[in-house]
Amino acid sequence: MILAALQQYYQRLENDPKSGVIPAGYSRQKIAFRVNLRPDGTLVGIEPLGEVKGKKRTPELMVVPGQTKKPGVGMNPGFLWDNGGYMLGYKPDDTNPKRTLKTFAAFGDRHVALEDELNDEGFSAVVRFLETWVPSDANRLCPELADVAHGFGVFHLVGEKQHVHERPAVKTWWESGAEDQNSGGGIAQCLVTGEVGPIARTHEPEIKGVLGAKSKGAVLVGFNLKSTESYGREQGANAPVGEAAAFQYAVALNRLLDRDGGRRVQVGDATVVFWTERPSPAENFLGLALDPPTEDDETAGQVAAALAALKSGECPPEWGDPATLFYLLGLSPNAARLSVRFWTQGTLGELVRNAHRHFADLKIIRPRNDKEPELPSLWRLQIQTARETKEISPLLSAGLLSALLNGAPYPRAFLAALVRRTRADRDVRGVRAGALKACLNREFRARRSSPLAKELPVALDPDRPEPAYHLGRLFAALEKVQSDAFPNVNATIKDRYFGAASATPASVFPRLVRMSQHHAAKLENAGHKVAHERRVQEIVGRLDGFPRHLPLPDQGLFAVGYYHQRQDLFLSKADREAAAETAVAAD
Amino acid sequence: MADPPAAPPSGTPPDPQSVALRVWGDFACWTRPEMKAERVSYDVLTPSGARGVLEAIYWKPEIRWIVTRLRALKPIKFTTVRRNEVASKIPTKGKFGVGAAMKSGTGRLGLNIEDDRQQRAATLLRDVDYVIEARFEVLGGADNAQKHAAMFARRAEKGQCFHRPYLGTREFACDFEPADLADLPPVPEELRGEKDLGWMLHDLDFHNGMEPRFYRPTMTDGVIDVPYPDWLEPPPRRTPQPDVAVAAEGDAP
Repeated sequence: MILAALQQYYQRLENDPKSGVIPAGYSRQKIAFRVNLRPDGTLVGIEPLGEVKGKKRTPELMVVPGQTKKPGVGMNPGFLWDNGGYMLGYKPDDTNPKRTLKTFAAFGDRHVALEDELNDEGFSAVVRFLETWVPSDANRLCPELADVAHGFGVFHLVGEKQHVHERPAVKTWWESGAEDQNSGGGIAQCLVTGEVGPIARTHEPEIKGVLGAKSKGAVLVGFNLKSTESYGREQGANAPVGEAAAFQYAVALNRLLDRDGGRRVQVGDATVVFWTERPSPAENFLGLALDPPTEDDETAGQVAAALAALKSGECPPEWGDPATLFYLLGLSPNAARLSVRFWTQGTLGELVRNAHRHFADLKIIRPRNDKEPELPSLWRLQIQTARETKEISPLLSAGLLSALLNGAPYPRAFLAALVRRTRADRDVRGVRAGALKACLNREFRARRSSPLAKELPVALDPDRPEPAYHLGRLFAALEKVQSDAFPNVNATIKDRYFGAASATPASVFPRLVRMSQHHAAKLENAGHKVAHERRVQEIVGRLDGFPRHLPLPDQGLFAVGYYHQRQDLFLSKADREAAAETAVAAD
Repeated sequence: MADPPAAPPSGTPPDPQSVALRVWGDFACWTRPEMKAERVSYDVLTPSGARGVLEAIYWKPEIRWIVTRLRALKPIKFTTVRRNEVASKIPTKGKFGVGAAMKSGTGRLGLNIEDDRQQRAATLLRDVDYVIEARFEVLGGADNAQKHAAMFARRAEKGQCFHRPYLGTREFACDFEPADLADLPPVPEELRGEKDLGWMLHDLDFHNGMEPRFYRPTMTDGVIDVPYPDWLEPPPRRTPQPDVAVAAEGDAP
């Protein structure tokens, strides 16, 4: 279905005159020169094309029949376009003139053989030219060729606007598929369209723009190993896709992967492209939902729209039918091939609902001067599990993305990595606490072994039943006593005991409580002292002893409790009231 | 081209040559031919994959399995794995091939993964549970249909198999048991409604150059009706056998 959806996208592009998509059977090539001919085939001159900037000439981009040529020693003449060797039998700095003459002969033979079939004046002029052209004259007649003949050239009749390969009769003949270079896959049923017809031997053009893949492109479907063949079928026969369909899906995918197209985002090691069944402003939104920009000023308007959509959880009316399908394809490179990391399709309505749910789950109380964006991107979530980008497990991205898209629990590995990282750097920041909260809430909703008895709220909830949450709170309270008593201490109890307190509370909490009494004794302000003691008492009162060991999800809950309590300690009365109001509004 | 056997009118007793088998496993990979070498699985099992499962449990040259209906019992979930595989195949022909080794009785047919490593990714199905409904056609032999049916039923009940049945690729072995069609779990919410599954492998035409045949299934509430493989020769007409009661399970063979 991936290829079929891509092929449909191609058809969408084809119907849109602004898209400038290349039609099947053609490719866009850099054309460096053109051979100007009179209608009788005599040469007028050879004219370099393209813009000259400084000393360099940039060839002109032109849509020509056929695909990029395969390198190699075999004869592979183009149709009405090719490099100087094939077209004129002339190559600058030629190391193998014999071969160059052979290529020119092959080019000539191909065109001469087609003259009757095409029956077009312009084409015949080219044939006359090829019959009479003497390769050794090239340099004499056109000195500029030395600069441009290693590039590609085309033919042109003087006084005509279009080039010979653009003449209607030539185009009609070419598009009839009468002579296709890429056939050889045999006749079979195409798996994309279901039509029986010639099968592409290899799927072209190659796919460019996947991060980490070869820059010349990679293939989504390809068989270069014996062990990938089935029943002795080679190349395209293994994966019957019609010539046109193969070309169309590849062009569509390349278009989506285009760097400036705004249809791709990088999620971990996967390059993700997305599109909708019909044109819709939602396509821009998808990119924002997956990867909210941190630079607000540039895309402020779009971000505002995205936020509004996410806040309400409703599809904006200008997006059209909420039942419109959207597609999301994640690719990552593997050798010269591309592998599908994930493939999702759903409706826009579902998407907005699930994205809304995702960001609501991640929402957690923040310090007022927090610089972190309100909607964390997937990358920002993943970096919470590692010290640097390259340490992020590549397995997380696909799981997180699919959780975002279908509302499923986040991958187990995500919670485990978050807890591990929290214990290692003893730092519970807003995004991380939000991620922990979201993990636990989603597990709870899916009713799998979650430590929760009810969903975790955005801010402190002193009446929760879970001991792990209160252990976290207690730790925050004890830390506050210490920091108030000794503001400049080098290693706080958090630095020393956070990991142990969250994993094996019984082994450290008794000592921490004892130490805290000493800390409290140092407090000078009697009012503070009472407040601290009351807080600790309140929390300890909810605990029934210290467990010897907390399982991993409970350690996550511990961190959330710690974070909630700590944020609460810093809240002013006004903040607290405001937070309570938003909590009510959110419900 | 054979006409598919007409469906029995409702109210008649169930076809004695039809069976239902439930198969499940943690992973499955029904590789789409159009998505290789990096495998991507179809959403559900293919008829030829289902046939492979049935043949692993019971098959003789005298019968052939025709898959009639496939049923998914769990939502479609994908996951991705990357594995080390080999790049080449052990040749069948030639001096170092399987044929030569068979003839001489000795030979080295191993491949060393260290020298021949090829990392490939696969997009697999997670946590699958299917019911395969099929019937068998008797092509020849002395055994009547009831005997084949009883043998299959007995083997499926006891968990016997010629080789371990698997879900698409050998590494995803599956469990199986006879399915009770009257007592299936409710269709999960995700599978409700109609779903076009695109062009899918039906089976290979082994008598015609192993040509793959495709069909375009629609899944309705998790159920796919599989058309009769119309490229098969019709089974030979057999002289009617005297009615023999289906051998009760556990009877001596």
